[in-house]
Amino acid sequence: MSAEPIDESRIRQAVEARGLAWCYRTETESTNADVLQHHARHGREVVAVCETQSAGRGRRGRQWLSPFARNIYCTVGISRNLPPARQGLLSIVAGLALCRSLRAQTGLAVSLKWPNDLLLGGGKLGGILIESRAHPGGGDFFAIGFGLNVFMSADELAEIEAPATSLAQHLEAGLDRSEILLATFAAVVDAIRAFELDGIEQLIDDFSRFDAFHEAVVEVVSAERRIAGVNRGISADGQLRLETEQGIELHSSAEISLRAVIT
Amino acid sequence: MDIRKIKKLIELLEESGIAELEIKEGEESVRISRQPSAIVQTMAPVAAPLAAPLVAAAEVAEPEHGHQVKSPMVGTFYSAASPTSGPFVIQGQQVSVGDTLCIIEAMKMMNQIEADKAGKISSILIEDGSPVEFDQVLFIIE
Repeated sequence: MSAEPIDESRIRQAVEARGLAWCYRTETESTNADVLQHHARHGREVVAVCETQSAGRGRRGRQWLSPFARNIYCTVGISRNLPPARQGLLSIVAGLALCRSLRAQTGLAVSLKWPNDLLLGGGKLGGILIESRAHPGGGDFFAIGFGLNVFMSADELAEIEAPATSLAQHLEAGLDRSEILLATFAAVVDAIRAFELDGIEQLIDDFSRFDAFHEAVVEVVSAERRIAGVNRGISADGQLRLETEQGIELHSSAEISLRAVIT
Repeated sequence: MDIRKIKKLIELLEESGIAELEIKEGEESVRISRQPSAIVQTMAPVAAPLAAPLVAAAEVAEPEHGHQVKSPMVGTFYSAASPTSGPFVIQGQQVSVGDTLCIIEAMKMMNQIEADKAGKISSILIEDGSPVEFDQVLFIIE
C-alpha cells in the first residue's frame, strides 16, 4: 500500500466547521509545540497536523519517530475549565475516543494501556502526550498530541525500542490516512468538549471494557520502584488502581506492562 | 470589580516598572501600589463588602516566610522540560508572574505550573522526579 499525501483542504474544512483554527505544515518540529505557540499568539482552539516531525515529543524527552507521510501526527488544542485534580481524566477521555474511532474505522481490536497508549496485537499502535497551560483568566488550554502508526513498515517498526505495530501490518487494503485523520481528530475534539464530571462513573466503566490488561497481573514501574499487582482499572481522578498484598495503591505516573508469570 | 480582573491588573503592574496603578470603572475604583504596606487598596462605595475580603486575602497570602506555591494535583514533580534540559528555575532566581516553575505529570499529562507571584525563589522543597500530593508546598517565593 502506498501513502497518499494528506488531503489538506478536506481536513481543514472539517476542522473549521468545528470552530477550530487549522495549522498545517508539511514538516515541523512538533505539532504540540505548534499548537501551544498558535494558542499563545492568537488565543484560539486549534488543530495542527504535519507529514513529518523533526522533534516529535514523547513522554519525558523521548522521541516520537515520525517518518514522512507514513503516519498521523496531530495535536488538538482545546480549552476546558476543570478542577486541576480532575484534569487527568482528559487523558483517559482522549484515549477512549481514539480507541473507539479506530475500531469503527478499521474493525480491528484496538485496545488501551493505562492511561492512553493504543495497542493492537500486543504492539503499540499509537500514543498520546498532553501538555497543559493555565489561562490567565481561569481554565486551562490542553494540547492533546497523538501519533498513530499507519503505514510504518516492519523495518521502521523495528527501530522503536518497545514492541510497535502499524495499521498496515493488520490490514491488507483500504487504508486512507485522510479518512483516519478526519475521524480521529473529530472524535477527540467531540469527546473532550462533551466530557462532564458527572460522567466519571461511565468513564471508569468504559475504560475497563477497552483496557488491554483489565484484571491482569501487571508490573508497574514508577520513578521510585517496580511493583507487581492486579490491574483494577482507574480511580475517579484517572489514576491506575493496582491491587497488591497491602491493598489498593494508586499510581498517577508510571509505565505498566504485562508480567510474565513464572511458575 | 471582577477578582480576575484585579489579579490581571496586579500581574500587569508586576511586569511593568510602574509603582502604582489606579483604574476607575463607573463608581468603583481600584488602586494597586507596589508599597509593601498596602499591596491592594480598594475604594468601592457600591461594592464595599466585596473589597474587604480581598484586602484580607492579600494579607494572609503574605506571611513573613514568603509565598507558598502548592501542587494543584497528585502527580510527579519535574524541575525541567526533559531529563536532558536545565531546570526551569533555581534557588535565588527572580521570577515574574507567569514564569514556568516546574511540570507536574499525571496520567501522561504534563501540567506546566507557573509563578502566581513575582519575587525570588527562596526555597525549592522537592526533588526532581519525586511524587507530589495535592496541596503539597513546592516552592517559596519571597
